[in-house]
Amino acid sequence: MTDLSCPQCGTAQAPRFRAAKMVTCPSCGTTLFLEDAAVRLAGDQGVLHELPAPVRLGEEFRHGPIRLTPLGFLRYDYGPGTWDEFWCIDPKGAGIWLSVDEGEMVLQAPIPQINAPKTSPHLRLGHQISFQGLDWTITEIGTAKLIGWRGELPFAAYLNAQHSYLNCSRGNRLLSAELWPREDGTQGSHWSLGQWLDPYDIRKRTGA
Amino acid sequence: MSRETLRAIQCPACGAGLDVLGGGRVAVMVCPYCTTELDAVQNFAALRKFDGLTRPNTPFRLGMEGEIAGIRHQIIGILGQVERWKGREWHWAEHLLYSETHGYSWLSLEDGHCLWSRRIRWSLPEQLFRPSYVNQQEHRPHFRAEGRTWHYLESTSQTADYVEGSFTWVPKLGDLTTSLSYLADGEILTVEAGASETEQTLTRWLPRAEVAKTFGIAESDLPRPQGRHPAEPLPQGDDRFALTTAGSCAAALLLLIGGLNAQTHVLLPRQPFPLSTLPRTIDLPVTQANRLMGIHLDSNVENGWHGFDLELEDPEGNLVFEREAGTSYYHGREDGEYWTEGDRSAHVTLRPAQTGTYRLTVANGGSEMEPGEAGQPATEVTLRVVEGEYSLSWILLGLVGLLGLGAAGPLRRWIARKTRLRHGDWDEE
Repeated sequence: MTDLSCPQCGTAQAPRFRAAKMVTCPSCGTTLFLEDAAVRLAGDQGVLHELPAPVRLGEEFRHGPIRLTPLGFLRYDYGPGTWDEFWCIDPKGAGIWLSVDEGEMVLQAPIPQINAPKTSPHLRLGHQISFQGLDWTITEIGTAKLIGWRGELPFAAYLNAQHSYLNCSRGNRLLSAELWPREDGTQGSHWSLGQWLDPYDIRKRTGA
Repeated sequence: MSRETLRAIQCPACGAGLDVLGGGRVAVMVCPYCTTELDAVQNFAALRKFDGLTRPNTPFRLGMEGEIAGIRHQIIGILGQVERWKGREWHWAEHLLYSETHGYSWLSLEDGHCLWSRRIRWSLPEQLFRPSYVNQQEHRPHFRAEGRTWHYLESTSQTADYVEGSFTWVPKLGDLTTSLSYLADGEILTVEAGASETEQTLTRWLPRAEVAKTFGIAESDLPRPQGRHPAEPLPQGDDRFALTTAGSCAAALLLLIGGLNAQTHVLLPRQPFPLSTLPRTIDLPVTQANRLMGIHLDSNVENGWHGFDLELEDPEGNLVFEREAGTSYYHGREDGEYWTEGDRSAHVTLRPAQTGTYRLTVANGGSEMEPGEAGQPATEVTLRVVEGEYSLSWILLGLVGLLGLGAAGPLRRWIARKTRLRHGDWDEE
């Protein structure tokens, strides 16, 4: 890892996530893109301070049988406020996203494109989406803009990138999508199936 | 999370300075001074005005902060709620709480009790939250979830009659919302079925003194509590200690019984003597001084009384006692029912002062037969003499006491649970 040093301040970078693509230098706060064991400077734009949240970067937490350590986060602005998407790893090193929005916490597993719901681009609140043989009602639609990040992330993020999103809540699960227009006029989408976590059941690892 | 830049505004209707409370999910804000509703998403434009509102009886105010479940919460909105049923009204106040880390929850003030409610998302059997399903059940509906058993408590139809502060939705006065609630030990699960999804809340009772202290008010500022609340925790006790103590004592008693049994020694095995052979003298080789000795007699008297004269001498020939032991047995049929009365057994206990051969003499004491009944005097008497006897009644009394000690906690909780469920609207009939 000696060749993974911050070009700005020389601090050696040791990402905890093997497939990390972007890290924030802990010494000078510069964003670094990791490309084929080399480091490319991305500047200090977009690096944020942490806001109060039930979880903290680098601190392992438990929720029932779930054990995760948040390594980095992306912050999205949805207009009246913001929410954070924490990139977390489990003890085996597998990564998963945890969405945190004013105490609403959802652990989001990606849905492979082949299994993703087929939708029209004209979805509205209250419309129903069919997925896994069930009808899911759209409970939220909005637009979000990436306004910053911090820590280790599994891909390179770009400041001010925008996407639409929709959420369908059903019991203790959340079906959600990020949507964006492609250059060819079609709609790109990433779907995920989420499990709500109760913030009052989050337990920090003592001594972490 | 909300933008941190905007902390205060002026009400466009009355000009009052208002703190902007809550996070980015706040949709409207109602000015507590002029009750004008402001659009928190569209630059706090005035939307409408609520007239003639009466503030509920609550000492809590917007902006107050306190710690619940170890998390700091701020009061950002206050709702007055009312339920009307058959001409009666029940009023309570709900305070919307906001935590930067844990989001939104409610602190309710109901009949002087402080309750904390928060949204949960559990996988629950949906039919249990349909009023029609509940109404069809013969017995109180219940189910298991999250490791607890939930019993149907009540259905509530409520409307808001007062509003002030910030809300994540647009409150509507007068709209009826119906919810069903289930009770587990110290918790109430309430489900309100909406058009697209059901909203579940979990309510816990909080000690008034703790709530008053953490929110910086005097407990006496809170309305006086009226009776017990169903969500109040069940009486707690150290059941483990009581059960362990009771179990240990019961084990010790059983060991004691075993020990006492080992010391029991038969001086005369059960032996019948025809009445014609009485009086009869029997030698009893006593080996345990100052321990209980029991002389047991049985006769075969029918519908009458038969007595036996007993005389006991110690090894030195001194008279220890002289007494009569009576046996009786009556039976018959009256109004088609068979009845019995009396006891064909008799026993005498004593503590021999010394060891050695005691001499027991048994003589016929005579009989009395019930006039007009087909009776028969005894024709034989059966004798049995044992030394080292013990009193079972004290041991049984001790066991019953220990059982009571072990069962006191669970019994108290069972009664408390039944009492709390009676607060609801379920009627087994």
